[in-house]
Amino acid sequence: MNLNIEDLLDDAMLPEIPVAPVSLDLTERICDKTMKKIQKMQHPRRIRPMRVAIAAAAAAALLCGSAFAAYENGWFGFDQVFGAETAQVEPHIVVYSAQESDEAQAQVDTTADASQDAVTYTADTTDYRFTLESMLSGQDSLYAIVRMEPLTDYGKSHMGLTDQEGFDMIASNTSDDVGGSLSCTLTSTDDQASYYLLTASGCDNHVGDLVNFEVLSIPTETGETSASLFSVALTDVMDTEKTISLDRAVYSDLNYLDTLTITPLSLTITGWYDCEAYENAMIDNGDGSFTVTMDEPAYPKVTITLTDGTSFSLANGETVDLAEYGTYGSMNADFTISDQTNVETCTWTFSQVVDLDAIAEINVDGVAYTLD
Amino acid sequence: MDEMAMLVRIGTGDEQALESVIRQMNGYVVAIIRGRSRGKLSQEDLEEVASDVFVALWTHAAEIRPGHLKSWLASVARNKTADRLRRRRETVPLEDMEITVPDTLWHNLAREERRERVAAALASLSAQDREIFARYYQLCQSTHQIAQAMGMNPSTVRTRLSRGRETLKNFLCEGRFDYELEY
Repeated sequence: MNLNIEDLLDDAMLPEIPVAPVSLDLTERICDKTMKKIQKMQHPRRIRPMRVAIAAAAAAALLCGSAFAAYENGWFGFDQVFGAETAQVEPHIVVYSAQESDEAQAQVDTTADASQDAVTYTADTTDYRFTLESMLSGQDSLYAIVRMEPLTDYGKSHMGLTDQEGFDMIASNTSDDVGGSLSCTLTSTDDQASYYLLTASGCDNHVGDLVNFEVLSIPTETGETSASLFSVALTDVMDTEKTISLDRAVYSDLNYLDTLTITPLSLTITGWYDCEAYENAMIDNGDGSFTVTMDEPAYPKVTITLTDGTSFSLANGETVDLAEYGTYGSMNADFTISDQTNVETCTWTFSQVVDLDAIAEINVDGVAYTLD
Repeated sequence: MDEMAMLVRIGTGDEQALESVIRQMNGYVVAIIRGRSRGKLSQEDLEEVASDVFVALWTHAAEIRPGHLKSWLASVARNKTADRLRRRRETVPLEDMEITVPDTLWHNLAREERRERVAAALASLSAQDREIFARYYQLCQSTHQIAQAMGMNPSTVRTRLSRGRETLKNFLCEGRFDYELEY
């Protein structure tokens, strides 16, 4: 049998190796993040109140026509995520769920032509039934809404599961090597159903690609388990995008950004990060610690300003600024550096649809760009 | 405050005690995450993983044996980093992480006996080799980094790691089922 040496050494008394102290700023941020997570555990996550969701649905119904009726029948759709802005991406939303009411079905069908031949995707675990409601895909971002209904008494008494209870569900494109960063957000729950918004940021989506839905962990009476739910082929990938060449002069040759691509659902910046130079930029202090003389890989500082004066930050130069769905900002971000090519890619998946015609300026690392 | 008292305080929900451990240990945890991810995690991810490690400490403080906080943090930091990389479909090729011993042998060894054999194996190594082991397997430093820190050639580090693993294996298999050894 193969034994992992790290595990073997867990209990062993190894010599103390001094490590480089981290900055006070980093210590504060780690402290702050930890304490916030602990607070969340002590005070269960506040779910967006139903009356707010209904109000949003009503507002959306005025513009989209169909959303409110669908919601009355227990359906949580993208109108609940993006509100009135859903209209911008409506033709690309693929609806899968079968509605209990014919009227509701008819209403839902008007929001997505592709749903006319919709197949229902449902899978059961011991205590729950999972159903894919709808999906929206851009070239580098994916959103999916999944309904979870209880099948057992245990399920009924454990609704609204989050990561704090050991629940994690993902939707990932299996057809490429770039799965991206995956997130799972509980958007609504009661004793009948919980709804989750799954996102993948930094993927590479094409029509025909298979998206795998998996429950990575879910509590049961006998402990945690996992389940593969269903695989769904992408039938629509939104390809609206605008591209900007970034100013290389503001960066070093070892670590620079060169292209920005924005879509109504995401923003991606590509550049170059010389990993080998980074390794060589580590200077041995002689006491077991290292001083790094080259910037560590980090998200660039990005702010978007709309023509109505609304401004929102995607990252502050070190960390990502995450925003709740339905508000301007990003709800998921991905950062990768390719081993082979040193190409650095940062993708933010928006938490609200962005009208590209309404963008006044995108500021990247202090340089302002327009989409003209 | 000693480690046991600190763990008891964290276990009873004392946030100040946790904050104190974070300030004391975050350099160590961050070093492991950086080492294990080989620069493939962003600063944001690194901070998220580090905070996840301390959240795990918050929920599992009562299960940690006094005197083993550091190794427990190291183990959780390595696993959480690997989870984060897996979620990003990133792979960090890690070499020589396993040794092979006969199934029957391992199952016949009691947990305490396993610990004793690992301790004996480490005690038989030179101080320098133990440091290499600690840097490679606990702090997740690369052989290149270890070589720089200890003023050695990287190939020397790799050779010493290989000998150390062989010693570990020999101690684990000592006196038992030698004919089953798989090389």
